[in-house]
Amino acid sequence: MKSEEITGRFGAAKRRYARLVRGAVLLLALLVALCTFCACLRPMSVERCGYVVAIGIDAGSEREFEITLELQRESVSEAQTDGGSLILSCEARDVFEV
Amino acid sequence: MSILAANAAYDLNFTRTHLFIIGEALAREGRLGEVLNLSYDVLRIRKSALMVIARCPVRDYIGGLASNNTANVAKMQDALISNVETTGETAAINLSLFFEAVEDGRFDPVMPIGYYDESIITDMKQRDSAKKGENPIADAKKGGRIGGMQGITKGCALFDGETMCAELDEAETRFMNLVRGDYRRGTFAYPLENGKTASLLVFPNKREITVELGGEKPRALVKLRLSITVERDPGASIVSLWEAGERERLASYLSGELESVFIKCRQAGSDAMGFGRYASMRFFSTEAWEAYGWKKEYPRLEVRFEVELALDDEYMTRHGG
Repeated sequence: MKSEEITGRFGAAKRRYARLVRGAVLLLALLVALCTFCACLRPMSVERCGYVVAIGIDAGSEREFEITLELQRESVSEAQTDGGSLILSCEARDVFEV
Repeated sequence: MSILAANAAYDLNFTRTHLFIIGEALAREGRLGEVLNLSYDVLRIRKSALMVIARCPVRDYIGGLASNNTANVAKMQDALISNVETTGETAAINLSLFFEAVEDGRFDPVMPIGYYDESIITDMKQRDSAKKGENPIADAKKGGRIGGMQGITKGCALFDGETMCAELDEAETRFMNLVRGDYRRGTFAYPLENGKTASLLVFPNKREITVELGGEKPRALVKLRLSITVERDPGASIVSLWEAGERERLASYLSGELESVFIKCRQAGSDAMGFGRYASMRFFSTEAWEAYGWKKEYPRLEVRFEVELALDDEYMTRHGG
């Protein structure tokens, strides 16, 4: 009788352990999936990305400031005809409004 | 983010911003605080971005940097920092140092001045002109610069807090950098008694600054030990007469120049040489330092410059000694 009780107690512990392992594996799988597919949430092509390398601020004529941005565009082809720099400017209240 | 972000075909990303260029008019009106603020973190702009004051429309200056369809800004950032160390002819300051200067009041900001020189013949300009059958290099004025960027940087703007109050030319900036400790090596022009000018390569070996606040007015002592290499000496006298009075004459010339640059900074109300850093070491708490009011005391500061020289070498040229 005594040995059956002990076996039963171990059996319950084993079941709890198995549930824990299953949960951990599921969680790990979810994390891996999240890391792998997170880039699909807001996909953006490199050619659409304009890296602002310089910010120029001058007095504006109609609004407070004339803000000039120099953008460095990444080249997506070997020809490098689509890369290079681009200068954009506008009048604004501050850099945050640009 | 709305105006440009909505109209440009690009998603603006500020994580690679290296340079802030500010128009001189805004700087002189003291409006830097309106345009620069610590909340740039929101845009992920790095505080290591360097600052330049443009003595021309900012758009032209940026256009001059972007010659040959390359942004050139990373190159410009490197060039600016190495220029300060190897020639001392300009100054370098980033956003972080600017905020420190303005908030703490231990020194005043100094910023490089940017110019746009349309006459510089860039590779792009040369190519475009060649298509029209012109030869810009042959047509260039004698001594005109060929190649490089049309946006150039030299000298520095002095600030009293956030307001630009004066400027130093390249030679004066070099003396200022010598005291600030930003200068590593560079060539100084030294006027000789025969009216000609010698070129001296100057390396700082030791720099000691002490500020005393106890007396009637604040006083500072600047001790500089410099090594001299004679690059060009048309009079052929510096080395031969070094021990016969040339050492003292040169030391007196250098300390006189340092003093005149300091007086120019003091008259403008700009602690560009950073004596406030040494004055603040005399206080044991921030409250005591703030209560002292360094900016009010600074115009009364008296500085003595002591220059000690060691003759290192002489270039063996037919123009040399």
